[in-house]
Amino acid sequence: MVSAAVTLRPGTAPDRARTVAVEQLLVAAGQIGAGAGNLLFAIVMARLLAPAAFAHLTAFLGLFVLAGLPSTSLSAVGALAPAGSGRLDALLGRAGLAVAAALVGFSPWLARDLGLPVGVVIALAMAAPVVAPLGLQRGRLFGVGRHADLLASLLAEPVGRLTIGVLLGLGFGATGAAFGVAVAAVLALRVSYGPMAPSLPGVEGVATAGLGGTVAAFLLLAVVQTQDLLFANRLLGGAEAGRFAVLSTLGGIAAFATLTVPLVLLPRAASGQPRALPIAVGIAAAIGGTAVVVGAVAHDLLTRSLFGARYGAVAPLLAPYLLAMALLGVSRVLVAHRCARGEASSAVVVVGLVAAGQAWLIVHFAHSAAAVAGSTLSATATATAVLGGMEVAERMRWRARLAERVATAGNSVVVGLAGITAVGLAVRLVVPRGLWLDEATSVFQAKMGFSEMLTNLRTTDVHPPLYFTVLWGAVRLFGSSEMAVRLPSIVAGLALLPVLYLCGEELYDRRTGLVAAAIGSVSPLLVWYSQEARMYALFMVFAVAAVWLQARAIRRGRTLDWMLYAVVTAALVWTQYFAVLQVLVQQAAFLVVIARRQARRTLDRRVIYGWLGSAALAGLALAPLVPFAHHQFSVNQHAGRGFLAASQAGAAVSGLAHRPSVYTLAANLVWAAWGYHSDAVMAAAVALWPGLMFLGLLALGRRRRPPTTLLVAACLVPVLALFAIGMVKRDLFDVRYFSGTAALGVVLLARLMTGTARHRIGLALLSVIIVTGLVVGLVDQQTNGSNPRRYSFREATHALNRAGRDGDTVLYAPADVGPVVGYYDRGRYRLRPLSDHVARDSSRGRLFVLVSPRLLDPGEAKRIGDVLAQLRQRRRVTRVLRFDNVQVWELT
Amino acid sequence: MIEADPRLEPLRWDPAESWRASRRKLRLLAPLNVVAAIWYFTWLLRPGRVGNPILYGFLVAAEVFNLVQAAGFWWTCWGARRRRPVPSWPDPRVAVDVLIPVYNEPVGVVEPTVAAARRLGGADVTVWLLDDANRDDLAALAARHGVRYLRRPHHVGAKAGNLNHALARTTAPFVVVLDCDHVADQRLLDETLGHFVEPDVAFVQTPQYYANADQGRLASAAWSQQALFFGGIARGKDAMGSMFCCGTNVVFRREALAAVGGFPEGSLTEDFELSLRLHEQGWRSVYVPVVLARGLGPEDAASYVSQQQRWALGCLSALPAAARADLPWRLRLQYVLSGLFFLSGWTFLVYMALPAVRLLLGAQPLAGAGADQFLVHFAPYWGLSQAAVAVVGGGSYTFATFTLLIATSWIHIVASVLSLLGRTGRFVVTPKEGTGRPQPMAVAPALGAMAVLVFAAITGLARDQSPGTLNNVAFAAMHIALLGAGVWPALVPSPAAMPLPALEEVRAA
Repeated sequence: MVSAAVTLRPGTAPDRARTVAVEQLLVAAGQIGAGAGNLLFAIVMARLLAPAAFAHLTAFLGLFVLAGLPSTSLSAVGALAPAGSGRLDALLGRAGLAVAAALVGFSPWLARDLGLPVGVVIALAMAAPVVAPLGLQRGRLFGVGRHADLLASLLAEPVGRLTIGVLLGLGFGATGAAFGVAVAAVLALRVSYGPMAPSLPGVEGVATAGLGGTVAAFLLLAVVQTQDLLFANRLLGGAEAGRFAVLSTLGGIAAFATLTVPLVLLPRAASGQPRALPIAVGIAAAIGGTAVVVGAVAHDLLTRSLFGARYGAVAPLLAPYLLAMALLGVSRVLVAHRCARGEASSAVVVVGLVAAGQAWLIVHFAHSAAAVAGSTLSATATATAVLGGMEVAERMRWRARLAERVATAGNSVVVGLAGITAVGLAVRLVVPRGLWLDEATSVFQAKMGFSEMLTNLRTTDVHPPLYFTVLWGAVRLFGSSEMAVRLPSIVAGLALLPVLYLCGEELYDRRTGLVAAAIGSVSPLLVWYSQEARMYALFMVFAVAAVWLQARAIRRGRTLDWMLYAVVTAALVWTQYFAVLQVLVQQAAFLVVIARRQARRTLDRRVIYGWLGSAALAGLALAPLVPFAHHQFSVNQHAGRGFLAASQAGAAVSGLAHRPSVYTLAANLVWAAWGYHSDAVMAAAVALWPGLMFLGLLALGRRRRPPTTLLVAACLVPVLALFAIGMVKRDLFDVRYFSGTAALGVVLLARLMTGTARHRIGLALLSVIIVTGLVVGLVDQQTNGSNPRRYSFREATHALNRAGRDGDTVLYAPADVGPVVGYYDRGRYRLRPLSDHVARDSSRGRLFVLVSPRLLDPGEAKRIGDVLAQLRQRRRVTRVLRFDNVQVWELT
Repeated sequence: MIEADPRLEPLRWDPAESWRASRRKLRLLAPLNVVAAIWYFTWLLRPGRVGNPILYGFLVAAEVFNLVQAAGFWWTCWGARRRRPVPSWPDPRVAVDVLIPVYNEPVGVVEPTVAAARRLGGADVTVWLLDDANRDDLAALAARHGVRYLRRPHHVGAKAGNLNHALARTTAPFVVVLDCDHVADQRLLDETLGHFVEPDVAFVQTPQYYANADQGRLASAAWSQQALFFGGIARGKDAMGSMFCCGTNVVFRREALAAVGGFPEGSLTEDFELSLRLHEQGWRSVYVPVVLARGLGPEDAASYVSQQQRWALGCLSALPAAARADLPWRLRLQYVLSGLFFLSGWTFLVYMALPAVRLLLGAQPLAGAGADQFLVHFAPYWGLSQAAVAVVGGGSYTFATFTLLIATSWIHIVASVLSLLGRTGRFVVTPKEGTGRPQPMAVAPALGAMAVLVFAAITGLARDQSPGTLNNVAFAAMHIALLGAGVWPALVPSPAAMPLPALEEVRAA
């Protein structure tokens, strides 16, 4: 282990925050200066070279950085073990020459595969023997504290590029510029050698075991930083690749600017100085954050003005990509810290997985510069989150606690939960239906620019923006295929299963948690909304998590629990406005707990402080939502739209179209428990309401426990409140709007089961019965075409795509289905809403009329019928296609 | 290893626990109950609701009966209170006779009772073992513990006759009656005698606690019924001065007993009728909600049925007397309500019969209303009624209690028929130990009802699967499930508890 072998070097300044910070800032300033020079070089070359040539140069630079990134890893080695750099230097020199020879030998093929001129590859070969020793020598300078020499080396490179590189670029295009870059690297290496630094007295030899991990970790970070550029060059067209090259060049600033921070950190971290890490993270974040702010404010200046108007399209992407690089800088610091402590292997695993994931995302989803940037952002964000989480966990000794908890829980629980989650994933991945109206509307909105989407939500929608933000990111990352747009819901629906377990375990015991997770894995409603590109899966997971965290906060009272509770509560409301009802119940629960403890004289004031603090934090987080929501509702009400919602499935069961009845209530409860089914099945299921009486009797005499009271209240209050609201606004009483309650109901059902069947065999039997019933409901829900919530817009539109010819027209009704028809449209026909005006149009092509009868209100249905009758007077119906809740007439 | 006597284990129940909270909740629920009842009955009693007139009549009668019971329950428990402890009787040497009537109970059951009675403090206690079976082992037991032993030449009048025989041979001004399985707490007299300072107090009743409640599902359910009575109901009755004597764990003023001629020997529920007579003569009763004796409840279905049959027949037989009693209307109504409880079985019969008739014959009691309308009117009333009982029960009114009541509701029907026929029955001592064997005969009527309901459900489903039929099938299934849960302890009894050891063995262990 490195850390075990390293002692605090006499030449290393003591662990004073100011000293450490000044040292970091000084080196970072040099690095930024070098970066600015390199940027200037890129800008000059962007002006001088044609886009394709500039793309070649930036690809070369990417490869140069990639080749040099082992050098960054070698810098890490040099910083950790400066004494051993001499021998390694010679070795690297020889290896570099061999690589150079190989590059030259294979240059024609490499050039073809990489899409680069052969000369550029040869220039790369020239740089090859230099980059690794350069990194090593700079690392050595970090390790021995020769910061002046280091600054000189850093600045020599841009100076060389801006002189030799520009001159050669002018003469020989991208190839010349590439050679100039290689020459500049040779100059920098020469400066790094400089006068050989004397061995510092007292410096101990460093064990080399573990240095390989350090090299690998930094190498993988380099891959994360540069592979997007290579993929973009390979996968995107010339112009788009050029645009991404601009983005990469500018984004590289943030990464480049923070490159030195982990290297300065390494020797101090290896010496066990605790303040070095927070300072390094802070500086990396500050530098990266500054870059993001600058990128956000001056994106036009940095793209259009510096690189030319043809690159202006990437301006909106600059800030996100700079953020990606800023996060990469923070990740590098965290990786360096792990390496310095001899834990490079975990860093290798994390960064390796992130790099692989990034590559997969780019290859599968990235068909534009924006998508490539999004992939990189998600990769670096993941790396930062995981590495940061590991660091926090270790600082709070979570790992030991988790290990203890897993050991206590026993393998059976872990295996059981893993199995349940696997089943849940499998069930959720089988989606037998296409998008429906609301989903298509969400996708339509998510395809807009971010600010445009927010404006659209604020002025036309009735939901808060959190889910749409997630979907917006998903569309950027993965595109807008059915699976891509449903991915956030699938992930949330899957996350719900362990959260159900945690909630059940926290409120009751492990058995209840496992049973809750098992029920949740096949619960029809939970599966349905885990597959729908809407906010309800997120709503459910936050709803359950809020109760779980509330119980944790009350029982343990840790600051972190209170904070997490506040964050989840805020997220809950940012996801679904009706979650306010649950939040109110939970706040009332806090009051009850406090009052009871006060009465029993067991009240710990920290509970009050925690409650008030969490309420304040949640309130703060929700404050921006208030004007948003107010604007939404006032605009909608003013426009006379009220709350738009799809017509109710099961309205036939309720028998009352304008006001919810007790049967509507029962139908919604059946949906919550057993999923969506045909009207006939629903009528039969609702008729079984005496079963509820039995459940009520079953609960008699059970000891009323506070968690049960909380769960019952959190379930009942939203349902009853929405039922009351439904008397005024009929469509608002819908299981979707209390789907969080449905998820909490799963925990309640699990508790009822574990409370009723106290023996293992009885519980297993009961679980089999319940789960079997749910599976039957699930299969019927997913496959029965009479399910009123299944809309075969996909099948209908695909049929039109197959049958349609240029010049055909598709008229659709109601007008709301436009987005979903548009989603599946392949551009073969003209799409228009069916209206009187269109009906009077006399087009010569065929006419297809697509109607979803269930979505029509009675007045609308009559109007559509009239229009169809008019059309029939002029045209002949040649075919009628019937799909689930969608009908298509072909008129010629 | 010798199993410990459960009567010597710590208490697990406090009849006055959180009584204020229960009363507060009841006072919140009761008005809601009234509103819900009005809501339901104004809907039910509309002329247009009559479907099949006979079935409708049965349904209304059952619902009205239950409403009366529910209203009586709310009224009783509304004013429930907990008496404050009173100072002990001024003279610690006051004489008290403790009467322990015994018939065929094992010595192992009786011995701890005798031993505990010997240790009673707060008075000059004389313990009398009243042997009604001429058993030498009981005589030996009495001798062993130094208590008085009485054996009578003619065994008439059952328990009441035995007690009257003893009353004639004892003289203390206060008399304690302890069933032979009830181990008294040393504080029994300290907690009760003080109430006799009031000269018109005839008796002080204390709770009847089943210490063997955890000896099986049936014992537990039987205890829950007791706990409900000796909790909110008894406190409410006490507040109205209508608490009746329950036959054990009770302290009498001899003068009062003498005034009514001792225990009535012609009744199966001598305690109930005795209370009625005492109240008629102006005496008062007191209930002290403190467990001061621990007994044994029925452990198997046969024992439970035997006990319930006796209580049902006794109380129903006393009902005419209660209705005619020369009492203030409140007290009279309390007695009538207590007796009427044993007619509840008829309502269960009606509720079970209605879906069966609908499924088999197509006739139904209601017309002009859909199931949704029935649900919206009935559900609040039913739910709130159950909630009120659950609140007053404080956890003692359980699913098992309810299902046991349903599964043995045939007892009420048989008892009321017998009562109408003037058959008074025979006093049978409740067995104190379970057999541990299945006892299907004890629940045979319930099994028959289940069979009828299953047949009706299958027949109905075979005929059609309309929502209306499914609704009735669901009702039938609910009753089948409730009956099934109720008969389960009789068919799959808990393992029989070990015979109770003699006290010496317990001490030795």
